[in-house]
Amino acid sequence: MAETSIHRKSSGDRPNRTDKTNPPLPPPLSPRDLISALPDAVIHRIFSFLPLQDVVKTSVLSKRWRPTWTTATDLVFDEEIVARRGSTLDFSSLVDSVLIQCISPTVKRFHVIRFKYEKAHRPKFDLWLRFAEGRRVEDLSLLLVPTTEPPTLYILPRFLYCWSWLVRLKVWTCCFSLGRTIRWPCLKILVIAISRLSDDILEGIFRGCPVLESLKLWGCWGVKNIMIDSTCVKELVLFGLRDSNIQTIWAPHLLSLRISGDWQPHAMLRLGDVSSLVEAKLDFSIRVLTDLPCDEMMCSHMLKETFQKLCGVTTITIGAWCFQKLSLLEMEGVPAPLSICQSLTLHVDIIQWDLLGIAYMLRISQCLEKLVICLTGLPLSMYSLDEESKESFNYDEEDFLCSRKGNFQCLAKHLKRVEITIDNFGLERLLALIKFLLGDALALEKMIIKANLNMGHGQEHVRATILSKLLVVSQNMLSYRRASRNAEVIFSHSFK
Amino acid sequence: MSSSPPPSSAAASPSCPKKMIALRSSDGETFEIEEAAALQSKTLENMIDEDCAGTPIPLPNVTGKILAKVVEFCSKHAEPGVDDESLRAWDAEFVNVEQATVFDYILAANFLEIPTLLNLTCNVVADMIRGKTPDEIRKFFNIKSIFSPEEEEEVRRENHWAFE
Repeated sequence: MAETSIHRKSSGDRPNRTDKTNPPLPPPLSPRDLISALPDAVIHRIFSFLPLQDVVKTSVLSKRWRPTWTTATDLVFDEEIVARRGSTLDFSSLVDSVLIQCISPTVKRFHVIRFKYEKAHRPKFDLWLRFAEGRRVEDLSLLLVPTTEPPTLYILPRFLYCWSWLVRLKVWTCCFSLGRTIRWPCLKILVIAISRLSDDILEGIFRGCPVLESLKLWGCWGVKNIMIDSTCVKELVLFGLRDSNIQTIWAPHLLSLRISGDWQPHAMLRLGDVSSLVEAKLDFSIRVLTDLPCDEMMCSHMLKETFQKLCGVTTITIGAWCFQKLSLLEMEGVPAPLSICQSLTLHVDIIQWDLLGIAYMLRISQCLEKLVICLTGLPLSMYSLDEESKESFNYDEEDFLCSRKGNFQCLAKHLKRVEITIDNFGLERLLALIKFLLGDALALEKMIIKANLNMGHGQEHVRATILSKLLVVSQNMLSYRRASRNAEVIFSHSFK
Repeated sequence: MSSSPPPSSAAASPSCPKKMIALRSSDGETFEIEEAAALQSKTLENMIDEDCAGTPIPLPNVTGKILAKVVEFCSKHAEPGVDDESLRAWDAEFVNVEQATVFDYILAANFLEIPTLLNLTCNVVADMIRGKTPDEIRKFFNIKSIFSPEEEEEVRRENHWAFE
C-alpha cells in the first residue's frame, strides 16, 4: 500500500504535446511528501527528540532515508531499549553495532544511560569514549548503575581530561584520577554522582574549568571542603547519600545553592562566605542515630547557623525536615536575624506546631512578597518532645497568631501573593492561617489554594465525603474578612 | 501585521524608543517587526548589523502568509513578563496547524535561524513519528518507498533490534 505512487500523470484528454527535443523531467516527489524534502540537518534535529529505536527505524522508510540516521548528531543509548526486548540483545552489543554504522563527522550528544557497570566493561567504555573523542562530543553522559556494594567505579580514561570542546558532562559511578590535569575550557555544566572525590580533585576541576556555571554533586564521598572562587560558577547542588561528609562551603560569588538528601550527623555542614547568594534551597535531613538530646541540639544549632548565613538571600525554599527544626527554634524563643527574603517556599508536614514555624518565618522575613506553602500529608516520625514542652503547646491557633500580630511587618506592606498546596488532610490545619492572612495582609493581591486530592482506591463515598468537606471549608474561607480590597482568592482542586 | 507605509526614519523619538525592522516576503508583502523580536533570528541579527537606511530586508524564501506567523512568534517570545506556563500553552496553540504549515514553519525557522521556533516545530514532527511503525510513518507523510522486498528485508536485518 505504501508502494503506490501518487504523482499525477498527464490526463488522457489533452492532445499529445510532448516536446521531443527536451527529455521528460523526472516525476516529482509525491506532492505532499514534505518531510523527505527537508535538509538532513533539520532531520537530524527532529531525530534529537526521538528515542534511538525510532531514529534507526527510519532507515527502512525509503532510499532517501536509509543512510540519514547514520549521520545523526545525537546518540542516546538508554538501557530501556534492551529492557523491553528481554534478552535478545545485550546493551553492549547494541552500542557496538550502532557505533560501527555511525559515520557522522560530528556527534553533539553521546549518552549512555542506566548501564549496569562491571569491571569487565572498562575496555568497552574506553573504546566508546575514543569514538566520542573522534566525533568531538560536546554533551557526554555516562550514567552507570553500580552492580556491587561498595560500587565498582569506572575509572575515567586520561584522554578524556583534555577534551577542549566538552560543554556538558554527567558521570555516575565513575571516578577521577588524582594527578591528572583537567583541561575543559568550554565546560559549563558538570554533574557527578556516586563517586569518590577529594578536595584536591575538586580543586583541579575548578582550575581546569574556567567557564563552569553549574556543579552538582550527588551522593559523592571524600570531599570535605568546597572552595569556589571562580566568578562563573553560579549554581551548586549538593545531594547527600551514604558517606557524604562535606564540612565547609566557601563560595563568595555563588548565586544559587541547594542542599538536599540525607547527611551524616557528624557532617556538620558549615557555610562560609556565600555573600552573593540570591537563591537557596534547604531540603535536606540529618539522620540522627541516637535519641540523645545533645545530638538533636547539634542539628538545631547547625541549622540555625546555616540559616543565619542566608539572611541576605531573596528566594528561599525550606524542606520539611529543616522546617520542623526551625519551628523548634521558634518554640525555644531563639532570637532570629532579620531576613530580606522576598519569596519563600515552605514544605510543611502536618504536625501540631507547624504554625510556629510559619510564624517564625513571617516574623523574620520583613520584606516578604510571595509565600508558598506545600502541606504534605505524610508526617515525619514525630519529633519527640518531653511532656512539659508538649503541654505549653496546646494552643489555639487563632489566638496564637493574633497574639503575634505586631511581629509580622511584612503583612503591612509587602506580602502580595500567597499560594497554598495541600493534599487530603491539610485544609483545616491552615484555616486559621488563611483567615489571619486575609484579615491582615493589606497588600495582598492573590491567594491561590490548590487541593491535590488522592482518592486511593477510588471509592465513591470517600470521594463524596472529601468533596463535601472541601466545599464547606472553601465556603467558609471565601467569607473571611479581607484587609486588602483587591485580594483575589482562587480555589482549585484536582483528583489523582 | 499587514502592509505598512514606508518605514519611518531610523532616529527614535524619546516617546517611541522601539526600533522597527521592515521585512519583505517572497510575494512582495512588507511586515514590520520590533528589533528585539527580530534578534531572535540569527539571520536577521546579522543583516540588521549591516543594514543602514532601513530598507525592507528581502526574504525570498518565505511567503507572506508564513512570514506573518513567524513575526507573530518572535514578537510573542520577545514580550517581557510572560510566565513559562502560558508561553508553553501559546506555543502549543501556535503549532496546532495542519502538517504542511508545520513544515513551512520549519523551513522558515531553518532559513532565519530561529532556534526556539525550530526546536518547537521539530518536536512536533518528532511527536508524529514517535512509536509508529515504518508503514504508519510512510502513510502519515506520504513517503513513497521504492525498496524491493529483498532490499527492505536487508535493511531490517541490519538493525533488527529496532524493528522488534
